[in-house]
Amino acid sequence: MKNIISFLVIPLIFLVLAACSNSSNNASENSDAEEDVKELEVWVHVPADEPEGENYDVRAKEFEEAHENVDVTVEHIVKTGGGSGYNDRVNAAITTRELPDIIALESVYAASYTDSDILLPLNEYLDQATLDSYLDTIISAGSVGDNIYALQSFDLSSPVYYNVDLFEEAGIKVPADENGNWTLDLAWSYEEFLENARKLKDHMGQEPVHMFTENNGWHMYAHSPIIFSNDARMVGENGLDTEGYLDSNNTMEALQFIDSLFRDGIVASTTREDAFALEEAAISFEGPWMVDVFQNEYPDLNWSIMPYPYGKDGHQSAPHGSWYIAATQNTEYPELSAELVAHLTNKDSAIKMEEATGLIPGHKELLDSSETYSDYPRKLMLDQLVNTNHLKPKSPIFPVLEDALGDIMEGIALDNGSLESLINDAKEKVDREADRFK
Amino acid sequence: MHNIKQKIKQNKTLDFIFSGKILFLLPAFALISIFVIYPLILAVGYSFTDYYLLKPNDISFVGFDNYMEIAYDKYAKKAFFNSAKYVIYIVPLQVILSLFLATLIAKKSKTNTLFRTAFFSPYILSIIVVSLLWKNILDPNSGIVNEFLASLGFAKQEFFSDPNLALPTISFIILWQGISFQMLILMAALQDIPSSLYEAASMEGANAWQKFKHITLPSIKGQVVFVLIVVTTGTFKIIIEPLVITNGGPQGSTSSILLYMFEQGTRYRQIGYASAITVIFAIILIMIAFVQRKLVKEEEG
Repeated sequence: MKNIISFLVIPLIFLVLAACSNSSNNASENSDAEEDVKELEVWVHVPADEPEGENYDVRAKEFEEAHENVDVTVEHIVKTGGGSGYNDRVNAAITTRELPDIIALESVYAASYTDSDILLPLNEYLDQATLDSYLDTIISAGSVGDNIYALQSFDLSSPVYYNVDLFEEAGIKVPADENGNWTLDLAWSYEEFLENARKLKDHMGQEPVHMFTENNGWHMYAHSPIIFSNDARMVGENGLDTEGYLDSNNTMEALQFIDSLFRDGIVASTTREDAFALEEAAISFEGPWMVDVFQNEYPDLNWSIMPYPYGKDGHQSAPHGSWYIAATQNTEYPELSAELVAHLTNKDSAIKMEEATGLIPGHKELLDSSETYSDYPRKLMLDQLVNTNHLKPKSPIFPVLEDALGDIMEGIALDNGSLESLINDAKEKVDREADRFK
Repeated sequence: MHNIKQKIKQNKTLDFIFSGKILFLLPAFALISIFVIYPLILAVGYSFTDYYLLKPNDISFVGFDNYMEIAYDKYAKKAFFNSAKYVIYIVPLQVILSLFLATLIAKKSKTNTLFRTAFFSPYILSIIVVSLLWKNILDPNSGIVNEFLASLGFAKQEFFSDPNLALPTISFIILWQGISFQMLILMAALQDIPSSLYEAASMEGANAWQKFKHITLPSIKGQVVFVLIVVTTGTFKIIIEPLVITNGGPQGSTSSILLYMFEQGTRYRQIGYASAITVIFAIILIMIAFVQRKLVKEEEG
């Protein structure tokens, strides 16, 4: 019996002591609090020692200094593959209703977050002049319906790289304006792309175009613009209807173009890492970060940048999009939070990010003075960002759309069924999920 | 007599409860309640709702809709089918090979200590590390296996990109890593068999196979059953290897049921639907374990 009593009483004593200690602390804290400090919490997906993470810390400090009794805490929750580590934390906070005032999010998820009333409409708190400063592309990516929910100080646009030497050897004449630059308006159509790729294939004796074929988000980011440039869409305006979009003639035509790239031996069915860097491919759809890799690690590689091929005139499209900053409905200080979003993504941030990482500044005023993007070929990336369509679907079921497109692209690469059957499977997958939202 | 036995048993139970010893079970019970029982109850509850991760305040009861949907979900069926394939590929081979290896290295000697360490080392590596390691080894462009095949004049193999090769390749990786733990359990069991039994059998003129069949196998039957159950349930729970190596592809050919459930719950945010898959999955695992135990008990009887 003594055992039972001691087993119960000792923890009880600890609990009582702990409770007393907490209450005395709280009492002293309350008495010490002279004024009401507004605490704002920011969650970002990048570590503090990376330029982007460092930039958020600097802006948060500036914001504190500019506002009395405002305390900003930036928490760096490093994302793992596919952003899962960070996203898991955000998802958990949504479940427990403990979201911070401000979060970073992939711009493509803005629609699903707003569908669930998670984000704060920034345009209700920020003046028009502030919003007008951002590139239209950024405003468009951060908007859902008539409201703007997320902003960023930079963006990026993925280029198509080409090997200048291999083009010359294959006898391909590069389109050029009066200054000798391959500009956006001189982009190859599907037919021109195919015709020249065949010449390259004949010259090289292997697949001349490199594409990543694994089923992941890369297809939506880097390859969907090829499809969308044929005036094709995956879903309608509501982000849910596939009928007449995913199965439209335009979509079919665009997919036929991609299919012919694989069937004609222009693109290999499985990814060949470093194929472009090793001059085993003459054209490559890779990220803008490869510019530094090619420059530093492959100094002998004679590369340049060409515009994305397009299907129909007037529908040119190119990849863009990154992680944006948004305020949540959970905040106690909506006006202050909106202001902090604008500050975290202001012009100084844009300048710092361009200097540190070469990202395209997200403010109109800075485009002309941008040193990195003033000359071709890099200027082409800026032109793509500013002057092409960005038709990634704004949908609450974006992850499903991303996977459905990935299934189609992977199916084409592996020649796993007819285009019709691949489209029908994708449509079925999307429709099943869309039904939950209708 | 039976009543007396029962009364003694009841008294022992009461003594155990009132002696205070039961309190020492509380920490374990609390942990199991928090991390197993409570989530299980939640999963069963959520499986009857349309719980969408981003709308925790808007949950409706949908009855058996989620379960009905699973019946028509071809991707879920494929994932269940793939999990069964993993079990078929891995379980028999893992049990047989682990028993074979255990028999080889059961005798205590310096050479065997070296082999035991070598055989066991894959198990102490993280699954993610092992997955990435094999992904590199079997890479179609620069992996050493394909380089070796090419040097012999064979065509390079798309181990993870070919829908027909990907699942057997991942099964091999799981088999390679998991075999050592089962080997250790069986080796411990083998070492417990009295050597006098083998000596007596030798005197009777029994050959190696007869000794194995009539002494070794019956002596370690319990451990073999344990290994069988652990490997079967473990194989059904495969998620990390296909997630890291192929993310369930190509064309869903390596997706397991747990990976599909994870995808539905975290990526598509359909907690209700993912919970229904979890419940069905749990029922299947319980049934398998139950049937395996039942079969063994019947055989023992």
